Amino acid sequence: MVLEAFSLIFNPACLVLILIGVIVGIIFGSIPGLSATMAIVLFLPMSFGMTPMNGIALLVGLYLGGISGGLISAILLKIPGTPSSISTVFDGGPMAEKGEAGRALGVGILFSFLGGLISIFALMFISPYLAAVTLKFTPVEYFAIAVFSLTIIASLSGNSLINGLISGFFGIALSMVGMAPIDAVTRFTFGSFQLLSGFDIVVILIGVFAVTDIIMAGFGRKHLADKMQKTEFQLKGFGLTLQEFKGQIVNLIRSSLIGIGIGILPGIGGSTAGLLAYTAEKNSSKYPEKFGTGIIDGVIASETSNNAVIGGSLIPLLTMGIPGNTVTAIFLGGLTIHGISPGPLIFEKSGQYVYGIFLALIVANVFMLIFERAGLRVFVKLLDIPKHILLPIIMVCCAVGAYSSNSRIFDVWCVMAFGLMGVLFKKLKIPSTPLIIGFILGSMAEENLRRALMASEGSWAVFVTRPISLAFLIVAFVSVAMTLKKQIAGKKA
Amino acid sequence: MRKKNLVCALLAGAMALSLTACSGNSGAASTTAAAKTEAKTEAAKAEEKTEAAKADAAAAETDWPKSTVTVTLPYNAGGDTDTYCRLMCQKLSDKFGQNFVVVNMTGGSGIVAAKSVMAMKPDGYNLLFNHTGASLVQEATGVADFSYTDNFTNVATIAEDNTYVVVVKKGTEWDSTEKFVEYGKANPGKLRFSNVFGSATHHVGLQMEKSMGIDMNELDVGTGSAERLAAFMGDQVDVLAANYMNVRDYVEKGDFVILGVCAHDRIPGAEDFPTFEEQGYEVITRKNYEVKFPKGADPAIVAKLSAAIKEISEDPEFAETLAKYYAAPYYRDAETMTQEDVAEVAELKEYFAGVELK
Amino acid sequence: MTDKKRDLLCSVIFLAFGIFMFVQSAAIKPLMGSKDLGSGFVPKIIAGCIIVIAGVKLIMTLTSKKEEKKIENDEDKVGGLLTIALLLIYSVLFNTLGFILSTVLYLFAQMLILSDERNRKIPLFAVIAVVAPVVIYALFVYVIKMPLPAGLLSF
Repeated sequence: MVLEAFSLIFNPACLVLILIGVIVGIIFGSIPGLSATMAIVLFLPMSFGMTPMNGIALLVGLYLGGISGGLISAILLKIPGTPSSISTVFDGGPMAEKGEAGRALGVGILFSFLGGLISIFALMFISPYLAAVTLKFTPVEYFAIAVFSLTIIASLSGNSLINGLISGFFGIALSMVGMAPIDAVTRFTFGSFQLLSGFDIVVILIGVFAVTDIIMAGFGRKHLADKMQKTEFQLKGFGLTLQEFKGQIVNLIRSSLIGIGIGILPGIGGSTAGLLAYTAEKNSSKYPEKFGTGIIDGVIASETSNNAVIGGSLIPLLTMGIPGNTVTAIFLGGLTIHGISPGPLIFEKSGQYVYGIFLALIVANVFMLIFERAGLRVFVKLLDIPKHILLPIIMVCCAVGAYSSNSRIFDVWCVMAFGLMGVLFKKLKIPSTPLIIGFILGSMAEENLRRALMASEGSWAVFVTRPISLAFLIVAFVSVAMTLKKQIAGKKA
Repeated sequence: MRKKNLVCALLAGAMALSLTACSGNSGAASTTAAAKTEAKTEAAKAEEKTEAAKADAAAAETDWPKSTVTVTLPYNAGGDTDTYCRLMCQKLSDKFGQNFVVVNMTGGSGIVAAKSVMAMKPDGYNLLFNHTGASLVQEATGVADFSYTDNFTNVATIAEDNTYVVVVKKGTEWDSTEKFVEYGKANPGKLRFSNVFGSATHHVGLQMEKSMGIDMNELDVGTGSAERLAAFMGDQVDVLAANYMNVRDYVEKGDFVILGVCAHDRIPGAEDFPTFEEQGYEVITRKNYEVKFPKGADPAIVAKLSAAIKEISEDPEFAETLAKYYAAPYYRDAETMTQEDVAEVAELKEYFAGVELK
Repeated sequence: MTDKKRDLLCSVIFLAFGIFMFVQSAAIKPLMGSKDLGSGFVPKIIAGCIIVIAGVKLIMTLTSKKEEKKIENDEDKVGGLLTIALLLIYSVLFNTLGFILSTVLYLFAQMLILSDERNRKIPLFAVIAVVAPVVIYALFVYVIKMPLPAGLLSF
């Protein structure tokens, strides 16, 4: 079976398809508004006509490329190309401003590769055990994880905890718009059916990052031309020394584990993985104050973990037939059409394809590394385009991305509205990152809280009697207490 | 610049490749579909003939379609509904020489897409493709504050999926229908049923309770089939209603036991499993895939499209793709579809009356 | 505007938002009886939290005795407001004029707003404003097969 898989993958047609997949994926991932999901949707019908292995290999390439491409715009434009690379912006953006764009990209690419690789090995060798873990997670645990993840807001609020909290709660409030979970009650739609589905994370991201950016550029247009500094760089390897690499090994392992862990739990997603890994690295660092000023640690944590999600998310998909996110759900459709049904019998029924997927992942990961490293010079050239030309074009891409996320003009209006909100936040000195975190996790927290209480017949004790949940809640409590202590100490100093 | 050209060339190459691969992929007819069509009575056939003649006459009057037709689909790409819809659109594009473009518009359990299409012009260039498993239940429970029949111009039904099954885990005290009913009667409120409020699954649960005379504990453990399957495996619920496709391998492996199929007939291609009906319990849910215009579409266009859909429903390639999901082509003209849907909504309303107070 | 005024405005805005949200959520009735918390429960909690936090901020701002410092203002109000107006116009025209036409207008105007005398090259802007929308439109409609609003000008 393994040999058959080798022969299926290592033939010219299949390799070319993986390469195309990776490149197209990277392009889609790097343009704000276009996503890995769209790339896969686009190529899915084409893959139906191919042989099963070729079709699947193409989708694998697109998935991996699409997630990896996000770092390019996150670093160069400070706009996350995909929700997964939100946390790459935190340090990647400042690095680019300091003229270290090439180094940030190099490091990001290398650790994307390593994170991806570790998760692929986890998928290959220990997926049955990890899949079993998935089943241990009930709504009680999901709620605890959501609460724990929300405490990141405290760490990422910047100077003012209170402004961060306002932003975070406002984000949660935004996530409540539309049809409610569980009983499908319509709330906060003010009579508009367009709001039934709530806001799309892509729409909020584009609004708060890209639209706000261009409006702020308008306010600061006098200095727009000054900032254009030519980025001279001589990048050898991936922009870090062996010594520096050794210093990041703990970070690499921790971030990979977070990525895999989040990946195997259905319904959480790559953006949370990046944020969690970033916060974990920041909180355990000897120099947490340097985070956000442009250090490689932050880029590494974020990029390692979001690529580790890839292997993680394929674990429940392949072993149980349970897709954890939109991309893997589409992936499932692709497999079904080719007569491969993921689940308990996949190794017996279509083992050669499972090994084929493993190999395709590794090949795609290598292609990603080569292509992005080789293209690095070209990507950085983006910064040479004058801002007054680049920004409007990006804005148009964003409008198109917002429109095509659901083919409706309403989303374009929402993007503009969120852009204005972002400007208001800037004027009021409220950080917008907590808003994004609150939005991502708000609905997860509510949904699982209600499910958990329904199952426990209204008893809140379940959250502290179940060990995994208790552990997460304790860590959440401790981390909030620590941050508060630091804030108070900081005020006194 | 050179890099860009290379990318373009590669893209073009990929497409050419996939196109050639496509052309070699028309296979033999699925036996299940053939059986299905033959099963139709002679009377129905005769009726169809006059219908067809009428449709042809009307269709000849219109030169629709003159430009791209947009088909709005309330589901994500990659799912079963998406697959059927895309295949239909491809066949319609081939037939009429105009593009039929699929637009995925998810959210609000399909209501956003439905309302968006409702607001569009009924000029024949905007279509809605959905299935009754979601739409009619929404209408009956009032989750949708409009009617999928009255507020649209029905065109035709193209496929059916009657593969909803109820499974429990093997080795439990209730791993056969008899034991299940017995246990359910002895332990009211003990059996935990994976419910999605106001959906076809909810309907199945209510029918089981009524016809078996049991009382289950309805829990929400997720909305998507994947989440619910995970919760079922993780022992958060005891009873799961799902499409056969999603649980097939677990049944084959011996982990799950199918209590019954929620349809009048056994699943074509998986005839081993009895229906609830033959075991004496009235538990039935239907899922028909329908095509609709916004209200007020030209009858000539409706007739022309309906005739084309009928043709597709008889296409062996279409049947073959559907068979991968254990679904089958099923054609109903606008009139039949309207009558049956209205009747079904009325029936569903009875079931859901008073559920909120539970 | 001073720091204090800004914080005052901020707390009042969110206090009002919190109260509004609370009133809205209080009207949501649980559909499933006592089994479920209902869809109004969590929104009420969140609204409550926003009210409390905004309230705390309000009190902190009112009681703080920090020196009043004028925020340095070096921004170009005209550029910002023009950009906002342009974006609003763009999003309205996006559907009515269609993607290509509205984007040509938007791109050209936006590049004019963001550029200054030193780098304002009208012919270059015009070329970009025309080429970019056409390329994006062709890419989406013909390659990606995702329809964009056609409007008056399409192919």
